Amino acid sequence: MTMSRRRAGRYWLAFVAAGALALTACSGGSSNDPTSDQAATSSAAAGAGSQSSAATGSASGSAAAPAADVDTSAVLKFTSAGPTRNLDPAKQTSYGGWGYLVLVYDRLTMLDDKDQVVPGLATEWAFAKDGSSLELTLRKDVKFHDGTPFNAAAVKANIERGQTLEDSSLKASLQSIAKVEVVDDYTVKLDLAKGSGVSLPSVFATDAGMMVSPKAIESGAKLEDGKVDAGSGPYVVSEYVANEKVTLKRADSYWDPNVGTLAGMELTRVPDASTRLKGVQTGETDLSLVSSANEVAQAKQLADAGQIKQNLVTFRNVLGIYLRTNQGDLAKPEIRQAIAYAVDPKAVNALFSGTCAPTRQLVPANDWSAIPDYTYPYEFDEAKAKELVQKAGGGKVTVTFAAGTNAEQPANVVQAALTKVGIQATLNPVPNSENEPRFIAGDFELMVATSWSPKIDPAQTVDTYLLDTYKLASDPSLIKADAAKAADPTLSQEQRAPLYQNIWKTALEQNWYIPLCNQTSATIYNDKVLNAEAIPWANIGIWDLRNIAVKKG
Amino acid sequence: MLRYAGRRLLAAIPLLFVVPLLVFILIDRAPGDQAVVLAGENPTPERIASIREQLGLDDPLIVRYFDWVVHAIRGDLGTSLLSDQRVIDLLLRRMATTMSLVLVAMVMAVLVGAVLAILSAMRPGGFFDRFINWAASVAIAIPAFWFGLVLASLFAVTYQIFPPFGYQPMSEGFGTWLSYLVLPGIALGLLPAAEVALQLRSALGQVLKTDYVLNAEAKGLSRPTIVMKHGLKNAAIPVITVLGFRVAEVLAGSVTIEIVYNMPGLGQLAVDSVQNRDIPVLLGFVLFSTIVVVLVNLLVDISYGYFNPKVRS
Amino acid sequence: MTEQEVDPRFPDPGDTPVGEVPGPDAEPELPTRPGILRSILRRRSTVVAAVFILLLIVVALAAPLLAPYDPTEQDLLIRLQGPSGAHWLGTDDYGRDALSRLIYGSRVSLWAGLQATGVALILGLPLGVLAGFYGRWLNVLLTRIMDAMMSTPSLVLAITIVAVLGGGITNAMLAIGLVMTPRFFRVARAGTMDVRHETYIEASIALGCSTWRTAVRHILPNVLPPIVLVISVSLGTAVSAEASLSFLGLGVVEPTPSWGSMLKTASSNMSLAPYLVWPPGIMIFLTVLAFTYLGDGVRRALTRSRSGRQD
Repeated sequence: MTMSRRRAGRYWLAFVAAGALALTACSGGSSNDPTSDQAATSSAAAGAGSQSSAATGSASGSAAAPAADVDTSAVLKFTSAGPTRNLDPAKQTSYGGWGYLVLVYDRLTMLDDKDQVVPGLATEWAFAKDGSSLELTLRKDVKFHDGTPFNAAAVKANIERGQTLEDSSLKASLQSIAKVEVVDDYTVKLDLAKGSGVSLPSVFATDAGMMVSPKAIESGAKLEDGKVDAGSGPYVVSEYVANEKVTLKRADSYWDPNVGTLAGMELTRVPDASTRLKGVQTGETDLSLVSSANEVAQAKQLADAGQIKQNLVTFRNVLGIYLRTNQGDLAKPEIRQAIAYAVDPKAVNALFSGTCAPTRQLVPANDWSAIPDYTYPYEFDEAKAKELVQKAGGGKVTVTFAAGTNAEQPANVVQAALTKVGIQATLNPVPNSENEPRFIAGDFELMVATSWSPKIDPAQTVDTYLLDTYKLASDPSLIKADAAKAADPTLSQEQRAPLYQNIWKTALEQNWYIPLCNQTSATIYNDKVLNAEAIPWANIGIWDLRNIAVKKG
Repeated sequence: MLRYAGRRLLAAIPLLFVVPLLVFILIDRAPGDQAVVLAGENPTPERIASIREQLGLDDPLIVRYFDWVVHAIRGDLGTSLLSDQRVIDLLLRRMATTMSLVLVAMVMAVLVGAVLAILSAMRPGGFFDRFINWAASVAIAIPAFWFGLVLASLFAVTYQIFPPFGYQPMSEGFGTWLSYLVLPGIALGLLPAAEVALQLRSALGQVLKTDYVLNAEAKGLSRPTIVMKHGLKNAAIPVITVLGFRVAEVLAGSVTIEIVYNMPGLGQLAVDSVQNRDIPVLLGFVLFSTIVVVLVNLLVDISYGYFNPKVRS
Repeated sequence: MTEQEVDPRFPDPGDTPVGEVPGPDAEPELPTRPGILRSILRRRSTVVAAVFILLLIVVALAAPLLAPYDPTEQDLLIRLQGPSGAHWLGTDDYGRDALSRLIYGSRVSLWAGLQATGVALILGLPLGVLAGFYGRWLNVLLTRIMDAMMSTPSLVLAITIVAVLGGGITNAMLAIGLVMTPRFFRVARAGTMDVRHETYIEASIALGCSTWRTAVRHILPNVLPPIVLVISVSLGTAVSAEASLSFLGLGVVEPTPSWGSMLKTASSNMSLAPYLVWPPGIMIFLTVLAFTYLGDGVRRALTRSRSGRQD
């Protein structure tokens, strides 16, 4: 399998070369092709099948916006509901804030809009044959905004910062790295804890891979308020108000001339979806995202009328029910099976006006670890649910959800469905900031949430939800052996896939989690915005706007 | 006079500290660990412990309270747990929205209320007078937030005359600013408008019965001239007092109106801080609104004392 | 005509209860009891208000018989459908019958009013009598505390209490009840102080009757009539306050129907289902209005019987 990794590595090289060629072409001003947008999208779609060919897709993707058409003096106005508590990559308590950081802090790897890991500051990566280490090859032409060169020492300083900073939020993501070794200026070797680290290449596409200038790290500069310019990304922060607004301006230079073509961006936090939609409709805003059913439906109407443009993205995140199957009545298998039988994903879809596509798997159907031709053992069946509840002698359950979020309405539907089959269900709305941490802390027996977010590598999904953070596996012994085996970086995808399929099957049979549906996110924008149909991360409700440009005129 | 005001102020000061103490005691009994919430998706025990330490959550309640008081006296209300912004900055920025809303509501209340009262007073006991009297007392029973919803539904959604939601600061232009405030202003101003109408009409009625007005009438001055010239001047004082009473009420009403119209004001901040259990912001808001209410009450008391010397003793 | 009827210091049942709502202690006079009911019923508006409230109570009690559907039963295939023969007031965002929810909502509103007013009454009345009866330091202390409570921004206090104790109608109404307590306190205290030094009370104490007995037998009857007025006004305030809190999502817990939570639903579906905004709002308005008119009727009756006695 190391072979195929290596081969992938060569593709990355090819990609960089192709990118460079494309760039030359662009600067020659010859690619004024108005169809190049579509071409990029279709080639990316065609390349979605395997990891290596996806690289080609993303290559043409980033080269899609022809420089001649692009208005380099434009300031893009963007709104979203994403919270931004601070601008320190190592202090993000939830992934909602990544979108603001990613434009300022470049990452070692990146995701394209098809969820494929593509090169960022690292051009190549390969695991050692025995899986004991991961070697990264770095870009040689990058400088941080403060003038410090980006190199292997910088990577070392960043990983160590993430691992040791007192209130770092990256400790879990980076725990598989035992030691960072500087091989030469542009090569860094990560020694891995035994049998772990397989998900690192995709982890480096998150906040854990964001590189901060070693100068800022050394001086212990406070990065939270955005006043210290310590990134190497296409933009720099010019003004920051936490949870309200991030204003960015273009960095002086950037290694990819097709990225960071705007003079600046204003990223404003607008929690209310209808206000965001209104903003794009009136032209106050250029680009925004909405995901609540009403607004998605309205956006469609507006798009049909030609007032705005929209692009629908099916969420990778799953809306579903988290269960603590060792608490209260959920310890009875009949009750939790009854719950799974009682809730109809189609009803939830109807609730969302058809914008929540029913799903019964823990990972997207096109993921390599997904179970082929899966039949959920507890397909909606009210009679069976009633029977099971009777057999168990009735049951009582509290349905927790975050008040005022997209989970509120489904929670109501779940409560009604459970009541209907004879389970005494009460709703427990809690603050939006509390539901996840307190569920993790074990305060709630059952939670309806939209937060199940399959990671790029299934190893991380298993760790996050089943074994570690959420600890949904009330009997870890059922999956522990498979999980340990599958996390070996020396195995090929084909070898790992059946192990994960077993884990998913067990989790679903045990009702540790009941998946219901994937919501839809609508990217809404005006006709001047380029590349809005291919925003990486849009399918987990956040955004990587590095490729966004604005048309001239 | 000054001594009276001073005494009232002194009596009010303890209140500023008692109310936050109540909040402290209440919050201490709340379910859910603030540190767990802040630890987010990585709640390792050591991280939770370090957050507890940072926030001083392990200190006894009374220590935390005095700590807060000492800082508050120095003008430091701490930082928001949710956004890491300074609470005082947050409050001041949000205040602009709320004050704009209250201002527009009060101006509308005074204008509409005064016009209706004057028109009523022109022909006491006439149809219009009786109608306004009835309508105003009925209007007092209309829930402001519902009226806001109805206005938004009619004039912003069905007939898109006004922007339905949000707020734009004055820096975006006076017209823009006002256009966002018209509907919420009307909704919030309904109650004080009705009260101004009733009060002013009543005060006008009394003034117009006094001898010198009757004299003026005998001299052949027209009714409108009498109402405007003699009546209004003398009737204004009790109306101002009533308005003073209502400022606090209008401020409280602005909470629901801000939610209806999704305006980033103090009310929305308060509801947000409650929903996210952002204690420093909640405490700051409580202190802030107590100060406003105490100040307004004080002004009303003083004006009472000013107009009615008996109260001062 | 209108001038004497409007009192700037009279508490009104506005949108939300507010700190500075001075109690109607201006008129703590004692009316003769038998005359009151008759004089209350003499005004048509008062009778209409009373009949409306009685009807509301009947509707609330008979809700299961009157409501065409289960108010919590969902039918997601008929979400947000306008009024029709099957659903007279249409359906909400879960396909629940709006009319049934409106009918059941009257239970929450009345119950909320009773709870909040009950809390205020139970706290305010005895404390007021106590303060008025004993006077001295106890009077000063309790009055100070009540003044402080009145100066507290009440919605803020209510929101805080709900935030801390969690949602749910009882917590919300406990909060509103606390906020309304000073009104009762003031009236009870003033009523007690008025008769405290009357000869028959002094005599009752001198005769060796326990103070407890004196308070119940001789003082309470003199305090109660004005309290009735405060109760009526407070019920209106509480109904309105419950609606506000439920609208903010701090009152009833779903799926319990309340007029306030119905308005919350209407607010978030305004463009798709504008018809939802009317019925709950009108019901809140009418209920508050009815309590106001009832209170007004009581007040007039009290004033009349007082002046009657003086004549």
